[in-house]
This record gives sequence, C-alpha cells and structure tokens, in this order.
Amino acid sequence: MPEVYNWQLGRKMLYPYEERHPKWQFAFVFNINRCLACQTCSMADKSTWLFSKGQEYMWWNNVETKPYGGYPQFYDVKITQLIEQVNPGGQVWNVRVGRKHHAPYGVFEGMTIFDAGAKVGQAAIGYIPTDQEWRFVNIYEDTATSMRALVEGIDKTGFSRDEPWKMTGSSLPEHETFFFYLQRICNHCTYPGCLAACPRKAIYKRPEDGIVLIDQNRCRGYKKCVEQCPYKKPMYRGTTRVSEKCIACYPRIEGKDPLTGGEPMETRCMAACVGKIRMQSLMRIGEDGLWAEDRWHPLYYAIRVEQVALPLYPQWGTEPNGFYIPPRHSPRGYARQMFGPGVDNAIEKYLVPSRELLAVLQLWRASQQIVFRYDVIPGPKVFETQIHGKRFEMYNDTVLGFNKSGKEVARIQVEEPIYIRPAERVTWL
Amino acid sequence: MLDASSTFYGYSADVMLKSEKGWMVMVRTYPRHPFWEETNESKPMWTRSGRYENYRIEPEAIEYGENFISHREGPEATPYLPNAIFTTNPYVRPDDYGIPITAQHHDDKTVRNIKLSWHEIMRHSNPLWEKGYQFYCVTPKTRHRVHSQWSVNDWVQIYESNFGDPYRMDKRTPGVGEHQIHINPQAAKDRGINDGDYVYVDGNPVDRPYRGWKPSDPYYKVARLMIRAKYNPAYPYHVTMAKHAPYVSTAKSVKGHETRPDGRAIAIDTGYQSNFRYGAQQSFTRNWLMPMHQTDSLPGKHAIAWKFKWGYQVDHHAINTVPKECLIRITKAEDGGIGARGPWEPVRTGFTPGQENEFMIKWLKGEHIKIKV
Repeated sequence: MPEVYNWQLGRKMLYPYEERHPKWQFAFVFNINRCLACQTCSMADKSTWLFSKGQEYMWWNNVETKPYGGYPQFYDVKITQLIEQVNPGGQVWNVRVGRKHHAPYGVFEGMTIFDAGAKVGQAAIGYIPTDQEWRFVNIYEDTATSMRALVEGIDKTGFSRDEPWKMTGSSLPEHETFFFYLQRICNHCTYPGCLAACPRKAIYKRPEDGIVLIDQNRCRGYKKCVEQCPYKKPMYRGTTRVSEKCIACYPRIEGKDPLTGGEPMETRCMAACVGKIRMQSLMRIGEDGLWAEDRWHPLYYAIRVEQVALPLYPQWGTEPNGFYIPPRHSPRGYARQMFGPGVDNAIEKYLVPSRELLAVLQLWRASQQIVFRYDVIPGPKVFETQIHGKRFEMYNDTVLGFNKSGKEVARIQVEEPIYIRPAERVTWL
Repeated sequence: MLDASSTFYGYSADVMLKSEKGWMVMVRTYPRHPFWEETNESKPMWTRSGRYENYRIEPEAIEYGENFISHREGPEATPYLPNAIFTTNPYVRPDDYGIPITAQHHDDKTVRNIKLSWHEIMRHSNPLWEKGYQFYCVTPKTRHRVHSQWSVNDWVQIYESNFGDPYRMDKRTPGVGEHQIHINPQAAKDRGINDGDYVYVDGNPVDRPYRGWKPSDPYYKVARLMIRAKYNPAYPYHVTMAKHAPYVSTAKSVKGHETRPDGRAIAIDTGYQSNFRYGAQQSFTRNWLMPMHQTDSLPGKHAIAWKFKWGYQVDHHAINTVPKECLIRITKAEDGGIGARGPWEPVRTGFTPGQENEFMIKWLKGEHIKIKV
C-alpha cells in the first residue's frame, strides 16, 4: 500500500492511493465556544438539500452535544473502540519530536483507521450504523457528565436539605461537570476514508477545490463509504439505492449564486450561523502538498500561525479539513482525545488572544463572500486587564476582509459600534 | 401597526418608504443599552420620584410586603413554607388577610403575604413534599421553538428531544418525536426508572390535573401526564426539567393515538397533532400571580413609547402569567424499549449517562489517547 504524508500526524501513513492534491482545498474553522446549538445550520442544510423521499433521516450538517451525543449514536466512541481492540493502549502522541511546519502537533505513534484496517483486511476500519443508530439525531442534547458520580459511584451531592451551602460546583480552568456542542459537516478530508473504501471508485476529490463528492451514476450502494468514513457523513438513500453526502454547497463555492456576482460564496450552513461561530474558505495548496504559506489568509493564520483551531480526531488519519477552536472549559484530557495534543496551546491562545488574533476573530460571519485575505488597521487601546494572571490589552483595531478578486467585502472593528436613535425620533412625554 | 410598536413609534411609513437609506429597527440604542436616557441625557427614571427607588412608598407595596426588595420562597416548589417573604426587616409589614400559615389551597397560599426569618421558614415543611412530591419541575423555554409555535413541525420535533425519529420505529411515539423530562440518573434509579422509560408525572392532587378529578373519569387519562424520562447528570437530585409549551393532549388526540393503526396522537377530524401520548405540561403546573403585577394604580414607563403612564398597562398589570415551578411525583409507567419491552435501545450500549461501562468511563476521562512528553 502506498505511503502518504499527513501533516496533522507529523508522519507518513498508509493510504490505498498515491498522494495527489487539489489546487485549492475547502476548509473551515468552527469556534465551539460561541455555539448556542440553535441548529439553524442544520435546518439551512436540510431545507436546501435534504427534503426529499429517502432523505428523512439525513442531516449532512448536525450539531451534537458532547460527550454523550452523536449522530449516528456514539459513532466516535465506537470508532475509538474498534481501533483500541486492534491496538490496545497504543494510541500515543509523541510531542518530544516534531518539526514546526511539517509536524505542528508532534508525531502520532498510534494507529490510524487505515493502519487498523490493514490488520482486519479492509481499506479502513469501520462499521455500518444500524437504522436504529441513525435515529435520535439530537440525542442527549445539553446532557453533562458527572465525573464525581463516576468516581464515587453515586450522585446525591446535588441537593442537601440541611446544608445547601455545602453544595459545590465546577470552576475554571477545567469543569469536571461539562458538556459542549460539536458542529459537524463533512470534513472534505485530504485522505478520505470514504474514498479509500469505495470499490467502484465512485468517490472523488475535485481538483479545483478538494470537495469530496460521490458520483451518483457510478455508485452502486455497497455502503463501503458509510462503513469506512469514521465521521459517518456519507449516508445511504433507500429510494435511489446509492449513497450521498455533504457537497459543500459547491455551486456557491463556484460563485454560481447570483448574490455574489461570480465570487466564491460560503455554504448555506456557514452563512446561516446565528452565533457567528463559522468561517469557511479555500486554502491554496503548495508544491509539497501542504497548504502554501499564506500569512494574511484568516484561516491559515488561525490554524497554522496561531494554531488556535485544531482538527477533529486527527488520530483517525484522514487529515480532515474542518478545524475547531476547542471549548475552553472542557477537561483537557477529553479535549486532547478529540483534538490532539495542540489543545493546551489553543485554549491558552483563545483565552488571552493576541492583538492580531482578536481582530481576525471578528471576521467570523462578517461576510457571505469567501474571505481570502485580511488586513488590520490599528486603533487605540481601549481596555486592559489580567486574565488568569496574564496581561491582556484590547485595541479597537479595524479588520478588513478581501474576496478572491481582492475586493473589500468586510470591514469590522473589535468594539461593536453603538447606534443611537436620534432624540427627534423618540416620542417623549 | 408602526405606532403600536416601541421600535417604530414616531416613525412614518411614507418617509421610510420614500427614503433611499436603510432604517435600523432599534429601541433607543443598538446594541441595547438599558437606561440610556437616564445615564446620558439626564432624563428622570420612570418612577414617582424620578429616581431609582429602592423603597416603594405606595400602600399597595406595603400591604403585599413588597416595599423592600426581599426574597419570596416559591409558591409551590419548596420543601419549606411556600410563598413566605424571607426577611427580618421591621419595615416590611405585609397583610396575610387572616389566612392561616397552614392554609394549603393554592389560591390561599399564593394570596396571603407573610414575612418570616429563614429559620422560621425552614421549620415549616411543605406538606406536599412530605407526601412524596419531591421533585421540582422547572419549565424553561426551548431553543427549538417560540413558546408553542412550531411544536409539531416535523424537523423541530425530531430535534427537540432524545426521541426524534422520522420513521417512528416505536409506534407509541405520538409524532416523529415527543416531549421529555430531564431527571438526575440516581434519582431515577432510586425509583426504578430507566433512561427512556415512560413515567407518570403528577402534581398537587388538590387541583391537578384538574379540580375534582377521579381515577375512574374517562378524561383523567387524557389529562394525566405520561412522558419519556431522560437521564441528565447536569440536574441535581431533586430537580427535573421539562421544556414549556408543547401541544397538549386532547380527548381526540388520545383517541387517535389509541385507535389509529400507526398510533399517532392526532385528532382524526381536525388533524391536530399532540406532542404527548397523554397529558401535557399543564397537567402538573399552576400559575403564580405576583401581587405587584395585579395593580392598576402605579406609575411606570409607557409600554410602547417614552412616556410616563399611570395605571393599567398590558404586560405590567394584565392578569397573564406562565406556569411556575411546581412540585411533582414521578412513577414508572412503561418500559422504554420498542413496544414497551425492555430498556430503551441506546441504554444497552453502556455509553449512556449514569450507565457507563468501563470503556465509556475511560473515554469520558480522555484516557484513550496518551501524550508522551
């Protein structure tokens, strides 16, 4: 089997196909800390692509409550368990080594889904969720852990009639009782499990933007993609007898939406985001197959320079192109299991953001057009404080966003301006 | 319509329609800055004195014991004396209208105004609590609906609870989803209730589900709440939660549920869809009318204008209210598994809250990844 380079693992890994890269790569950053789980993204996606017969159970975009929620039920626990069975106790990150650019998070020494798949005679290890497991898309919404209950075996600590003041809660930096929302679409991976699995070669990555699609004419509905995508984003449709998946709203990426006059536009789920947690763009791919250095690209800056956003389950080895600013209150062990060893740095960067990061974070949902470049106009210092013992200074900088043609499409300042209804428009006593 | 809205009051449709520029819908400022006029334009507060009042001199306020800011114990959801004003301030001197402290009827105990020290309040038990009604049930808003609006929209039903299923594999489900009550796993286990089981939820039997109910009434089945339990360790032992304003069961929706081949809780003639098999949020809740909200004699800001107004105002004084936190009793009704056979399917995995297997506990602690430093 060929070897390919996975920068998120800091090493080469097995993959059924030779390394080949698109010209640009669809990518996104979701800020978990801002999500209110309103599901407007899910409904935007559903009402655009998923309202027909056979699609009733499908949610290409879903938001699930971690740690108990998942669509399909417990998919990430089950994938972790399958790999654990092949490689017990061996899922290890070595952070003593690692080159800065080619291995930003250290080197993963455990098994990917492809490594584990080789042990069981499959392209990638996986399972096909049952019809029952696709039910209850929002299972365990807002459900927290109770670590104390797990440790002590019983939870009666929540109420004390005689000594109510003795009840204790959780406090930062880590909440032992916690939950957070995980927003999920297809990660349009660099090394997709679905593509590796397909016996018909019906799945392909578009050379122009890296979007992963299932050719509806070639597909014969064998469900190998459903089985071997660890994120469980390809879904089988009984009425067409073929599988389908998130298409990254590619007509919008191509600039076909009349609203932008030919300029690339963000997907439906991004544009609809109420909490302004989502930003999506296209990353230029360099000669070496990695993202070409692009210092003034907002996502390149967040992911590669500040490293405030991290891939979801990088250890699975598909090199997903969806990135997350991790939840700042989560127990770090759980977060590392989900986002890799970069978690501590990312949370620190997010808690006490640099002047530039704070400005760039304002770009999230400042434009429906895809932003390819940003610039910052310095403003005055407006605030100063200590956060967890660290000095934090806030500047009212203005950040600009430019589209693919270099035209300004966003201009927003760190401090939200206040608009006042003029006194002559107010009906006084 | 414009004049009846505080954001548009004083604006003219003609001017706005003919204008080239955009018009922002806003109150006084955007983002909202409360007390903008008072802090930036030296306008008086909307009170009798024109100042921020920490003491209310009105006879009504004194009569109700509301002349000072003080805590009122819940009108029902407390193990202690309900609706008592907790203060030792000698200037708080409420009228109890001669209603004895032991009065238990909802109307009596919510009308009387009594003042006690915290130790005195704690000395009195709520008799309901002693009778086994030992769960508070809070009924907050849901992110998926606006009050009852869109309660039976399919995609909303699917997202609203643990039990959304477009294919309705369990034919007991009233629609493509159903309502649920969050409960602490240990509290549920102590009562033999598994995650996903159907439970009966009963409120104060004096007047709930309705006055003068008898178990033999045909309507009792329609009015008594049966709902799915959902384990959630976020809730303390005695606290439960059911989101407010789903569509209630009616005699016709219950008839539909019991006679339609597909089991949907839908009225055959009108098409009305219920979010419940039986009962509703209203089965166990009662309102609470705060005495200061029942006056029509006090001054305040006009609801839709920057004007001073005396007396009755909608939303200030109208007798409208939402159900308040109540005490409930929870008993098991049916198994959660399809067709009431065995536990609800996800529980069998060992991955669910309160019933984690060894692998899941390690997973929750993040022990399936190791970092070599």
